[in-house]
Amino acid sequence: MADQLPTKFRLTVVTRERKIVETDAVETVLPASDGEIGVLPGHAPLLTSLKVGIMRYRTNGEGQSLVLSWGFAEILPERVIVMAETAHLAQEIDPAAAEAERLAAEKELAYLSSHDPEFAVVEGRLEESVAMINVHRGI
Amino acid sequence: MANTIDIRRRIRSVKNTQQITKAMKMVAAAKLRRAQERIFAARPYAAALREVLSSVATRVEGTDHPLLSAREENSVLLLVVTADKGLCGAFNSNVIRAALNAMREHHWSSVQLLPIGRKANDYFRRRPIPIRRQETHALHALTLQTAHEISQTLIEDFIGEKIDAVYGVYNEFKSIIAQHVRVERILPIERDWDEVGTEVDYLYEPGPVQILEDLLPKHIEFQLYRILLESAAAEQGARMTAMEAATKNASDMIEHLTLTYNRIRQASITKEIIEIVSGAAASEG
Repeated sequence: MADQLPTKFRLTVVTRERKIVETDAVETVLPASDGEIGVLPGHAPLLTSLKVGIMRYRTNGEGQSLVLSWGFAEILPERVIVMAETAHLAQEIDPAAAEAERLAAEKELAYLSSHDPEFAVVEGRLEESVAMINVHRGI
Repeated sequence: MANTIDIRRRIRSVKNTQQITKAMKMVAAAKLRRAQERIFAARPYAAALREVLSSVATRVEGTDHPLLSAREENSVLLLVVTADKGLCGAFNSNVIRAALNAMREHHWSSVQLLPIGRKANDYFRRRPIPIRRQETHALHALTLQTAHEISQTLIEDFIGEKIDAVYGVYNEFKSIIAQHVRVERILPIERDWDEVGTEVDYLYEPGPVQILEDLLPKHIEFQLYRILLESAAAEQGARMTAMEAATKNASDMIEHLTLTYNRIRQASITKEIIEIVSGAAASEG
């Protein structure tokens, strides 16, 4: 007799400063470092690092988006733990601030060579602000 | 009577001091609550990080990642965390004493210091011990960025073999009334998670070695962040206790002074009455 696949999993999103999400979810999409990963209940155990990007999840009926930047995710058949450097819920995002951040990061990036260690940091800020703007627009 | 005036003045001054200590206690209590909340907020992350680390580290058998490799401890860096301010009992001196004791006990051939907090900086600036990095504002705005910068310095020095180990000396927040000085090794990372290793066979993306490489610096960074949070909470706890004691001492002192004051006042009244009575008796006779 095959094991019954679970129909939901426990989703937890934590940063070092707070716990952002703890809920039962039926689906999530994570910005893994090698590309987006979709997770359904009963996923094979997986550890992955995350990059800057948009994370989505669906509880029964309701969808929710977050902007994550870096971190790790531990995926088990009945549990997903996301440990992020920073995480912002879609409704917490201030589009004006994100836009300002995007412009500032773009301007700074123009002065940096791609070998500069700062480059990756500023690039990350740019990606994060772009992701925030996209989430806000509902893309 | 000049004496009663003097005592009255002293009572007033002690009362003023008591008001200040009482206010400081209230402020410390409010700050303590905030500091405690931050510690609690970081706990879920700590648990998750520990779990993931243990499962990766057991999986990646026999790695000699530089941050895990222990070598003979010749040159050591001590991270000494005090407060920026005093008036918190033995909080600062306990940490400094523990750091000095550690140096005396271990016979490291060279020691560098990374003092955090103004009190540690003030103390060690006048000693002949090299200081790796000045960190006076770390506690003023306790952020992840601070922890990140400090951890970068430590990791660079450790991998560059300029130092062989890093120890943290700080006050651990036990409870509101108890702080406990801890000397804790930060680098190389202790492999004490092996026993907790999970049985789960994970898939890894990108690969277990890569993930471990990303995780370990994060682990150090988080440990530093935790140490700073603990110390900040412990500081407020210590200040609360110290100010509570000071307030109580002031009460005792006021009570004692009031008693003396009344006694002197009574004595002078009695004396005056005796003078009047004896004066009257003399004129009658």
